[in-house]
Amino acid sequence: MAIKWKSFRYSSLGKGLALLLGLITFVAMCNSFAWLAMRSFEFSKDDYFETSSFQNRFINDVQRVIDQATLYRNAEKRKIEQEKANGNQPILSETGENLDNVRNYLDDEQLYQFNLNLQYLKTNQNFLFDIRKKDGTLVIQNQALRGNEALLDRARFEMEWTDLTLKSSGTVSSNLTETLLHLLIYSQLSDFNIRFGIRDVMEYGDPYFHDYHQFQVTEEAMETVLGLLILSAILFIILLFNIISVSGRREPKGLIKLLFYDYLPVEISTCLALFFLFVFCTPIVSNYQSDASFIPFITAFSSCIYIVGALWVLSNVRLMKAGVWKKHTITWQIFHMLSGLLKLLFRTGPITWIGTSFLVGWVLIDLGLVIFLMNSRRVGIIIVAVLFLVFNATVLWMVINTLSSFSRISKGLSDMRNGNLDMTFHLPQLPAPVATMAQNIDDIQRGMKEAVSSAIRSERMRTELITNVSHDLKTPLTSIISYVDLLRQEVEPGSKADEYVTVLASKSERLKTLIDDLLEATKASSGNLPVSLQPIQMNALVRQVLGEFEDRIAEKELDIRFSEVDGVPHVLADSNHLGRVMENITSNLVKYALQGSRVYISLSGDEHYVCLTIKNISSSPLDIPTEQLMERFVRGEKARTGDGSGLGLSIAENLIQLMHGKFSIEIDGDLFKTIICLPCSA
Amino acid sequence: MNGKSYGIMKKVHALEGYMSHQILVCDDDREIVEAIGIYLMQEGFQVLKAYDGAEALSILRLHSVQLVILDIMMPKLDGLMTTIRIREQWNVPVILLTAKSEDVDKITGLTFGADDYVTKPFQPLELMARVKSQLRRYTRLGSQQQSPQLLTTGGLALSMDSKELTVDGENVRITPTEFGILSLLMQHPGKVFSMEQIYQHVWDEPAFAVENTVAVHVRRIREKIEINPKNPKYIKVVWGIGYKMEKL
Repeated sequence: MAIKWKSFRYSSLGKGLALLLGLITFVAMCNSFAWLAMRSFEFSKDDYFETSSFQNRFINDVQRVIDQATLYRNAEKRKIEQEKANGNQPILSETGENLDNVRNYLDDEQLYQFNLNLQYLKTNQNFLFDIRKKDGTLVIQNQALRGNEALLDRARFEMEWTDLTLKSSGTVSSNLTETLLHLLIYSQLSDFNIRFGIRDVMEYGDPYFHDYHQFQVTEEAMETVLGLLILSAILFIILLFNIISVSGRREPKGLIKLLFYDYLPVEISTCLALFFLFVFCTPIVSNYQSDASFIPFITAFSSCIYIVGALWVLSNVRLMKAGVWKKHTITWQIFHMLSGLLKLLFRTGPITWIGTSFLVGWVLIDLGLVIFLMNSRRVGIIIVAVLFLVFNATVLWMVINTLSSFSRISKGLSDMRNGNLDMTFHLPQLPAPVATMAQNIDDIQRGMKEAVSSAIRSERMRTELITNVSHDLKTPLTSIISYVDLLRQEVEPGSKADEYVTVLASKSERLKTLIDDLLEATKASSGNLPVSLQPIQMNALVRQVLGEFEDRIAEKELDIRFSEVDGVPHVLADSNHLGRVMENITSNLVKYALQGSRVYISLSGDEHYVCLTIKNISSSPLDIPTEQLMERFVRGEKARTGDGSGLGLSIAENLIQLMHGKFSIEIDGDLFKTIICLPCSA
Repeated sequence: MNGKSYGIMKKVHALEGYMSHQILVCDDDREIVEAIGIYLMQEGFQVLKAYDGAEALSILRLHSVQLVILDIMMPKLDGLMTTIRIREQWNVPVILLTAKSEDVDKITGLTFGADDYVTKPFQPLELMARVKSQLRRYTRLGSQQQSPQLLTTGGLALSMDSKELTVDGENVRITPTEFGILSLLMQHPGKVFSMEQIYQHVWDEPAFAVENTVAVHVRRIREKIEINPKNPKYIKVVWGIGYKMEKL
């Protein structure tokens, strides 16, 4: 049921119906409002006799009465004059018809006026009046009073003018009394006695009765019309809500569909609407006659407003619902175009060009504004001053914005330099030239981060490789060595098998040495070794090494000549690595030195380096160039026998370099010279 | 290798009483476990075998074991974790075996509670010597009275009054100079002494061109107390500075 109702609302029939009903209620609303407005203006009082309508009419009638009295007096004066001229004889002597008498003495114009007044007074028959002379002679009275003078006594608003005073009975508004008093005093009718009032029970037919009746009717109608107004207003509002809510859509939650005239810019459509309104309403207004019933006029007028207004309002509502209202205004479009232009300028132009043109523009506009300011007056000055302030404030804001974003980027850069590679700049908020910069920096940063992480990754992989390979090589080797040893137990000593097993044992031992050396060399050359530098005493070092290798040195019967010197400064080195270097060198020495020869070890140094020099005679001829000897896997003898791996020197060189020292070899015939230099620790 | 024997191994052949000892060998490499088992049985030990840490722990719960030989790189539960678990419940000596020869790994292993550390590939004879040394230490544990005059490190016990040295319970003869050096180093385990300092303390003379003497003496001491003097566990050299007694 609800769905049906909803879809009905959205249907063309539903919409049309709603619009029609809207029109009806709107017209009803306007009419009732107009009726109420008019009536309330006229009949805002509770009592008919308080209304201005009554009072004006009453005052007019009193004025007529006064006029009659005045005319009568003038006529009487003339009569008296004429009678005087006639020998003081009354010309006519009929009782009660003095009027006729007097009338004879009016001239044409006065007579005309007299008769006119009489006519009016006759018409307003509910207005009772009695004019007498001071002596009681009746001048003129309302016809109804003839023979029934008590009527006046019963009258509403009974007032008596006598002796320059106005007496009233009953409740009379003070305004009325005052006005009447003024009139009477002004009229100088001091010699007349005038009584007037309104019949208590009005007779049908005269304007008083008519107005009175109208008033009663209005009183009663007022509530009805008020009710009608409220009802129609409520209905109208409901319908309005409905119309607005369903406008633009074919079904609930459907897409907004714009009509052809919605595409007109808002300003234009507004002007058009006003134009049509003007076109339709002018003839209506000009054709209006004020005393005719206002209903057709109001109806036509409000219908016009409704129709034009509805179209205009709904068009705007549709635009707003579709979210495109702003875009349909000319103002916005101009603004958008301008800002698009500016953005284009900013984006494509180099910063200097943009900055300069900006500055020039600013100066020019300010100049223009100042000139304007000087040439305008009063209101103009205020407007231009405000413009000036607003413009400069905007410029200032833009400049501050740009500068602050520059400083933010600068700070971000220095953060990046310090290693923080996670800076981001909020790109959309930056002005265009700065935004390109920020983007570039961002890209660089990303590149750096990738490079750093890839370097770390490869380092990690290398370390893992070394560890894994080491383990994977050593495990089977362990089995080999163990089982070869077991095998040895099984074979008969001295047999062929024993020979073979001995070979196996020694070779597997060699393999072990090779693997250890290889891993050592790899670590040393990759720079992956931790180096903790301490002050080392070279003298002590040499002694320790000689002590460790004492037996092997004794075996080779080498004669070590160590020329110890005092005051050799300490060197900055890693004690473990240096020990390893010394082991390698000494082991080489023991392996390759000539049996029974001398070995010279000396220390020398300057303020930067301390150098250790070892000289020995090689047992076999050195037929390899120096550089080659230092290379990996190159051994002193081309035959590659013996248990060296060829890595000793290479490892030693790498280790020394790791400690920021220098390692070199010199070969001179059979003389083998090793030189190690290390930085002083001071 | 033949003809050369490690210092203390000369003395081990006469030792008896190990027939009943059970030793647990744990390695994920079956051949190595096999080989070690053969060596141990040759020495007269009874062997229990395991191939991962969990298995080792369950065997320990069920049997009386006097020594554990444990590989580090094993699946499921590696050697270090197993050592921790073992130490939670038992005091049995643990010798770690591994191909990882970094210093940091050695230190880690010993910190976790192992008593010794042997790198692969190892000399079987050396392994056996270490096994016996540990066992001696273990069985003698508690039978040594602690006194302020007795300096101990690992298996070394130096008596200050009788000037005697025992290595894993075995008496070892040392010269007065050697005693002097040992007492200095053992009084401050872990501290590095320069060769001059050692000389001054021992010879009571100002040191002058003495490094040679000290180095030679240290080497002699090593021969006596270390299972493998080339790979000393007690007296460590700090190259270019001096020597120290390892705190074990």
